[in-house]
Amino acid sequence: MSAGAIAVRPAARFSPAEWVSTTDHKRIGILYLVSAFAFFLLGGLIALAMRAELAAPGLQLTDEQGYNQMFTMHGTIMMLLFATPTSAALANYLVPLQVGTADMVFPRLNALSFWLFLFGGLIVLSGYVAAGGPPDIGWTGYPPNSELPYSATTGTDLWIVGLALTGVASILGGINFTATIYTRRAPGMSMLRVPVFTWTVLVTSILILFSFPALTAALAMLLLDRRFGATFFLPAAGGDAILWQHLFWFFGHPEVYIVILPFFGILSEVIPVFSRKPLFGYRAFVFATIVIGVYSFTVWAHHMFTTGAVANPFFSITTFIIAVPTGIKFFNWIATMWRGRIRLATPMLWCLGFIYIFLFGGITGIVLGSPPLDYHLHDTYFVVAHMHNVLVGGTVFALFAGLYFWFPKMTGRRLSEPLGRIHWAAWVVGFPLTFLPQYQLGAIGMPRRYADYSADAGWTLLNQLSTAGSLLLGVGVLVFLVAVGLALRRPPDQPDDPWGGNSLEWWAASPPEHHNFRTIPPIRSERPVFDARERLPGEGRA
Amino acid sequence: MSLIRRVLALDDPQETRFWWFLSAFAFGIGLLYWFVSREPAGSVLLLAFGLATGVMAIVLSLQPVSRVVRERARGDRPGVRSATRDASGGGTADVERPFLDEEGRFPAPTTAPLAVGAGVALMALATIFGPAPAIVGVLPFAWGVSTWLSSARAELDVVEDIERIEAARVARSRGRR
Repeated sequence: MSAGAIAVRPAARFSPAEWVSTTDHKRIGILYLVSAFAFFLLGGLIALAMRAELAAPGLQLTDEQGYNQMFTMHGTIMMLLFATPTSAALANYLVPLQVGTADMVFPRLNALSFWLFLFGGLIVLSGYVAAGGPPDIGWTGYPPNSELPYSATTGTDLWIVGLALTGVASILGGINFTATIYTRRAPGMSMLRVPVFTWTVLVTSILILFSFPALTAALAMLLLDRRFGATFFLPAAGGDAILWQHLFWFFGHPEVYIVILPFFGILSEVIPVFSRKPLFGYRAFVFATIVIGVYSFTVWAHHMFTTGAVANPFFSITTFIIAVPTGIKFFNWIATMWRGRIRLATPMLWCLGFIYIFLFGGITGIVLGSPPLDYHLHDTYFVVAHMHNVLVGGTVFALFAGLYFWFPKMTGRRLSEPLGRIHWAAWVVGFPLTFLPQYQLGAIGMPRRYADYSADAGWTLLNQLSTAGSLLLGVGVLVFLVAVGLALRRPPDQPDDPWGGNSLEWWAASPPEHHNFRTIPPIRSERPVFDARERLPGEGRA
Repeated sequence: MSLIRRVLALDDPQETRFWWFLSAFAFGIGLLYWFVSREPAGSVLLLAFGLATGVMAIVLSLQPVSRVVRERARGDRPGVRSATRDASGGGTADVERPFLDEEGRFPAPTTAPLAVGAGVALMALATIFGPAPAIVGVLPFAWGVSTWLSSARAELDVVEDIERIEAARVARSRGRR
C-alpha cells in the first residue's frame, strides 16, 4: 500500500477465542490497555466518591473505615493496576514495531505476563466481596497498621497476594522487553539509533527487574507475618516496621520512574512530529533517561525523612540532583518546539498540557526534597497534590497524547479532533482546579487520608474547588469514551502514516499485519521513516 | 593501554557497557551510602543491585558474539560467525547488534499462558484459603505447562528441520561447483 493512499477497509470480526489465545504482541498490548483503562475508570470513580465526601464538612457518603478503604483502593488501582500496566500496554504494542521485528522474543511469556497481571488485579479487587471488605491500610501498606492485629480483613491478604502476582507479571514483562530490544533490533539499528520511546522502555524494564523483587519480598514477608506467625515487621515481637519502608520505597521510588519514563518517551515521539523537527539533543535525552533510571535507586528514603531513621542530608542531595536530568528533558522538548512549524493537533495539545502540569509536580518535588520543609508538609494535602501533579500529569496527559497519536496505527481509525479538544480542555482546566487548591490545603495543615474536617478550619472552599475540578476531569473522560466509541463504529480509513511519523511503526500498515513488516527501510538514524520519506518523496513503500 | 581498555570494558558493545556502568554506579553509591549512614537495609539493597547488574555484565561479556565485537575493536579476525551484515551496506550490523538473535516461528494461538496464569493465581490463593484453591489450580497449571512445552518443542523441531534442509541444499550447491 502506498504511503499516502487512503482506502476504506472492512472492519475485522471480533472473536473472543482469538483474543484469549493470542500471543501477538499487538493484541496483548491492546488487552493490557483495555484492562488498565477499566481499572483507571474504577479508580477514577473511587476518587470522585472521595472528592464528594470532602466537598463539605461532616460525613456524607461513608464512615472513616469506608474512607480508609477508598483511598487504599484508589491508590493501589491507579499506581499498580493502571499506571504501570499502561506503559506495559504501549510498550507491548510499540516496541517490536519500533525496533523492526515481528514480535517479542518470548511471545507466550508475554501472554502469561498479561494474564498474571489481570488475575492479580482481580484478586486485589476481590477484597470488595471478602469478609471485612477491601484493605484499609493505604496503598503503601505500612506495618504495623497492615499487620493482622490492626487490619483483620481478608481484603488485606488478597491485596498482598494480588500485588505479588502483578509484580511477577511486571518482572516477566521486563525480561521480555530487555531481551527483545537487545536481540531483535533491525539491521543498522545501533543503540544510539533506537527510538526514544523504546529507550525509555529499556530503562524502565531494567528498573522493574531490580526494584519489583524488593516489593515482592516485602509482600511475602508481610504475608508470613499475617498468616504464618512471623514477626518481620512487628516491633512488639522484635520486628522492624521501618524495614518495610526501606523495602517498599526501594521499589516505590524507582516505580515513580517506571511509571513516568515511558510517558516521557511518548512526548519525545509526539513533539518532534508535530513540530516538524528532529528531537533536540537525542543523545542528551538518552543519557538523561539512563541517569534518571539509575539514580532513581538512590532517592528512596526521601519518603522517610520524618522517621528519623535515615540519613536525611544524603537523600536530600540525591533528590535535588535527580531534578537535573529531568530538567534536561524539559529543555529537549522546548528546544524541539523552538522555531518548529508546530501543528496544534490533539496529541500535541496533550503534550503541551503535560509540560505545564508536570512542571508543577517537578518544582514541588524540590520543595519536598528539603527535609525542613518536608517535616512541615509530610502527610498533608501538599504531598497529595505533588504526587498527582507528577503521576497524573506524568501519565494521563502523556497517555492521552499517545492514544490520540497511535490510535490510527492501532485501529486504522482516527479519534475525533473536536471531541479530543473538548476532552483536552476539560483536563487542562480541571486538573489545576483539582490540585492547586490542595497545595494550599496542605500548606495550611489539612492532613491527607482524613474523611472529615471541621467547618471552622477554613478548608471548605478550597475543598469545594477541588471537587468541582475533579468533576470536570470525569466529564473529560466521558468525552474520550464517546470519541473512542464513535471512532470504532467507523470502518478503518487511515493511511499507514497519517501524521508524518519518524520511527518504524509508521512504516507498517495501519493496523499492522500479524508479522508487522514486509520490508524495512535502511536504518541510518533514529528517524528511519523520515529518512525514507525524504529520500523517496512521493514513492510508496515496497 | 590494552589493560585499561579491558578494565573499563571499552571494547565491549554498548549494550554490555551499559550493565558495567549500572554495576559500578550501584557499588559506588552503595559503599558511599554505607559510610554516610551505617544503615544496613539500604546498603544491602544497593550492593545487591550492584551485584545483580555485575552478574548481567559478566554474562553479556562472555557471550560468544559479543566477543566478536571486542576482537573487531582490537583488529583481530573474528573467531565465531558474525551476525548478518546490513543489507543496505550502510551499517555495520554485526557490531551494532552484537547478541545472537533467537530465531523462531510465531507460536500458534494457545490458551496455555491463560491456563498457567489462572493456575498460578489459584495456587497463590492457597496461602489465604488453605489447600482447596491449590488443588483446583494445579489442573490448569499442569495442562498449561505441558501444552506450552510440547508446542514449543514442536516449533523447535520444525525450525531444526528447515535448517537441516537448508544446510543440505547449500552443501549440494557447493558440491556442484
